[in-house]
Amino acid sequence: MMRRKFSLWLKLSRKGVVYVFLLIMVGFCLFPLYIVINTSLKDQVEIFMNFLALPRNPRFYHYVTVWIQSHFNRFFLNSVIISLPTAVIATSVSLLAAYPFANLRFKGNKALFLVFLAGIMVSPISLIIPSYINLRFLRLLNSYFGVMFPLTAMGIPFGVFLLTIHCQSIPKELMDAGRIDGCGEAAILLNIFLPLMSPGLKAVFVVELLWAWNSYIIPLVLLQDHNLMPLTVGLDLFSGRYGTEYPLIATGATIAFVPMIILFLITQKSFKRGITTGALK
Amino acid sequence: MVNMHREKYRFMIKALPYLMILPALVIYSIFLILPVVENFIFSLVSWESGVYEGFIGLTNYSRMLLRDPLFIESLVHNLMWVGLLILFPVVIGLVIAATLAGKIKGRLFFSTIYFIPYTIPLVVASTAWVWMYNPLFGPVNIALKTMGLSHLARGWLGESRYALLALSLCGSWTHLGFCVLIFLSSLQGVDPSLYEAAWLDGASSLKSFFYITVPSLRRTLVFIVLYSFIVSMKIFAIVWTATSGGPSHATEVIETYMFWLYFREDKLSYASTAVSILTIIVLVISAIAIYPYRRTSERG
Amino acid sequence: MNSQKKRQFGMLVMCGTAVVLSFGLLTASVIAQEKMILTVWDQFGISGFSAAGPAAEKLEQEFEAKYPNIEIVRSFFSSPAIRTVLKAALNTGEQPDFWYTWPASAWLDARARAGYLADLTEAARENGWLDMWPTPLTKRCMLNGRIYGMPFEEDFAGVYYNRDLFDKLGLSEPSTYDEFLDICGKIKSAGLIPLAFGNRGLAQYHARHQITVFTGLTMTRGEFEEILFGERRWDDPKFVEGLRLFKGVADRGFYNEGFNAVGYGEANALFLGGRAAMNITGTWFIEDFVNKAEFNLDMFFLPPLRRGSLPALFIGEGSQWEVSSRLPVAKKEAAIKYLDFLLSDEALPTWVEYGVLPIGKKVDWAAQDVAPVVKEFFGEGKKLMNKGAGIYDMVTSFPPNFTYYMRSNLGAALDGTISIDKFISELQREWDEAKKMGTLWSPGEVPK
Repeated sequence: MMRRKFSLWLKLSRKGVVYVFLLIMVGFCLFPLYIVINTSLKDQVEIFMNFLALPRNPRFYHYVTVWIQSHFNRFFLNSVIISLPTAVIATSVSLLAAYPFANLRFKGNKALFLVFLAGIMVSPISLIIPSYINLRFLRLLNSYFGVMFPLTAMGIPFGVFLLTIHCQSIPKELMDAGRIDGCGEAAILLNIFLPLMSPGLKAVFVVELLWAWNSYIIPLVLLQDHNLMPLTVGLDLFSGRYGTEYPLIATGATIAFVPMIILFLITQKSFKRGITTGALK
Repeated sequence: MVNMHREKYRFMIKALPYLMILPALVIYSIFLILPVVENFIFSLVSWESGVYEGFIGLTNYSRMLLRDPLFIESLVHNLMWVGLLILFPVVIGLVIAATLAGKIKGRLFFSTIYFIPYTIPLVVASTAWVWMYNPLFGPVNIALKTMGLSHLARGWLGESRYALLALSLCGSWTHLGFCVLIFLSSLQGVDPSLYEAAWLDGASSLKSFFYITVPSLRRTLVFIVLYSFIVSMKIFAIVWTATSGGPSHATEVIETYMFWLYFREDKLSYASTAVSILTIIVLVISAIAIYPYRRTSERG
Repeated sequence: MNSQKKRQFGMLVMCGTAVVLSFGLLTASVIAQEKMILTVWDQFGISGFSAAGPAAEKLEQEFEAKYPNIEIVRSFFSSPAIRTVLKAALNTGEQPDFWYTWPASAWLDARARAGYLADLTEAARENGWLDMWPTPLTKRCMLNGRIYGMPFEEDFAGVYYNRDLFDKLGLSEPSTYDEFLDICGKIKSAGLIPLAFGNRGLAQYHARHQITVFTGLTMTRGEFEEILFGERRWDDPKFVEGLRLFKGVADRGFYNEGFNAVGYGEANALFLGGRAAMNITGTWFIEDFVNKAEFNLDMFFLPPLRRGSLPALFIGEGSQWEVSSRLPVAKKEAAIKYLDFLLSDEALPTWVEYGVLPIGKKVDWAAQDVAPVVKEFFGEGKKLMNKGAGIYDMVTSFPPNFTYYMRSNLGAALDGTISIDKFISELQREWDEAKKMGTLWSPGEVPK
């Protein structure tokens, strides 16, 4: 009796330890974000009094100031203009390339696939010097396209890799069954292939969007016009020489990160499914 | 006529894969491969302070690898970052994933929360962590002081001995969720009957972790370690916005060093050498790591 | 529609499009020919971003109204970013026509040596710009006797202090260095931070600003110029003494703890937030400080070691205007016209109104409608400079390799991670290397 009670207690406490551990990690993950959001709702004096406490009366006007006066509306729009097409293009050309890698036999497929794969390892900083020269030659410097293309190119390796694996994981039999039923190739692609690919496509799209949105060094160097700069670089402008105001920097930072969290939360189910299928193969 | 038609059809079938790859390949070659190749070319010439002085072979490489202690230091920091990223997010991520794979309520909730830092722009992440470490009002020092450990409180990012360690925690923060996600789904693929058998044999959960979980994750582990390696070798934004390589080069990594070489010292070809060496290292090590698993990319 | 008609229709549409397109292009190019476009990069921000933004916008419009055939296209950058971006732009020939960047001296010389900058010597002579600047500042924009840039803002550094706090503690401005240390001690024992200091991250300027100020106590400008242009060395006892004064303040704990982990902006926030009583920094923050300080802001120059000698002064020029060497004659003239307009008496009230404080011998600070602390800083600073006080700032006056060493290691020398002796000998080594490479600042003599 005694012993059973003890083991039950042991079991419960072990369970308790596990949950405490998991909750500590939750704190670890969210606390820095709490700081940023919290700071954005305070004024400077309050920050020095107690950095961690909740704001006494939240001041949302920082958001108005930063959004309108400090041109974060423009930066936000630029981030959308740059990252959305980048994600669309990268996902679609990757899908187009992934299909033959997975399903068609042709000469040099292995070599080509490796060439694509190698791109994952290239650091963006190694692109900036030559890209500057190339983009100037292509007359794309200091334009949205001049940022979108390098970002797309950097996203393609991952897209091709993940989508190829997704394509491979689709059972050939399903598509063959479609053929036996007399569907045309187009109908097979549209009605069988694409729906099966959708978690993979969503995952690639979200990751590409995330990377493009969060890119820093490429737009920092390749854009000169402040009317074209995305949020990450705008934030840099903001905290450069005049970086004395914590609340405004925190507000800018919040505007920069919240959209991606929302995007992730909305798409998380298919995102997780899509990304793990690829990684585990 | 029919023959011609068939010829045409056959050609189409042959050309189709290439045509489908073409758009990706064009963008990829112009905006990624070409710059990488150009970097190699720049690293073989002398082009400093806007003055081009022609081909000099591997002089830049020998100068950098043999006579540039700062480059070596930066490289070592990159590698230390790799180690720290494996030590914390990979190992802890595995533990978390193993925990979550068990009978846990709120698995979805936890794994979602852990992933959130991965979605944060690195510039924002480093800003947040710089505030965490602020010696005057930062939560890290406040926590230490309230725990009665005020002798441990310090300007974390300002002391050579701790700066890299402290900063890498920010890198770990953004990396942890990804590790958890991958490990978790990999673990969910492990045959549960294995655990049952182990349990029937009276194996402790620690034992089954080491004898069942870890071996069945071998591939995933290689993938995660490799990915962590690549991420660490690419690290830039966090270091640049937080410390820019300081204090006295304690957090200098190849990227920040290169940035200084190019944008301040105006050594274009020498800076290209730094990133070329980086690219070579990452490619070679990744190739070695992938080699035993090369069959994965082939169609079974 | 049959297929032939379809085809004809298609042709028609294509021809139509082609005509419209070419017509459009033609008009565009005609308009482009009529208006000369001058691309300008600066760091003034845009309205809402910084105090200077609206001034730059307003002057741009005024100039365009005056010269309707010139169109100014402005881009702005943060102060650190403009160096980065301009460097990449210059290396690849994608530079703007006209820009306002920093730093001067050795860095400007490097740009001039590489042939990126238009020689402005003649323009300066013709437009009477030479009379506007004190010699030390003109020199900072010169290479071998030719002028390649025009300074604009004047940079002095001294000690800002919180007058309210001083009053509360019964303190007054010190007149000797010992009094200064005494004040610091009193503030510290009152539980406040005497001096704000931040030396983390990209902008590790604060330490080098302060070493300049402290060395200003131990060295005259003439002696300092002997290091820069002559044979004097960095292990000169007077320079070492300056460094030791600086380290002495750090060792006494008069700075906030962990200054190497605090950013420059964060240090300023400490001062503006009333947590630190003083801040040794320069006039480049003065607009911000005046606007944001919720206390009585005042300043003094770091007082001399011995009563009766001159206090310490830091001389810099902020950024300078430079014109691209790659411009056709007409465009270069337009750029010079615009520069002359920005420097003119006509533009001065606008700059001052929005809080940009341009320099020049002719600006009478007493007569300007500005805060008293501004008048004191610039007015007194200029008087001191004319008396011969002040040394060149140590952020922007030296060649890149030397600057890099100093930037990266000064903080370590202050907190004792590396010894003063090691620091000094490494400085000298970097200096010798720069000398060998020919990257030292070599202004030559100011033309008459």
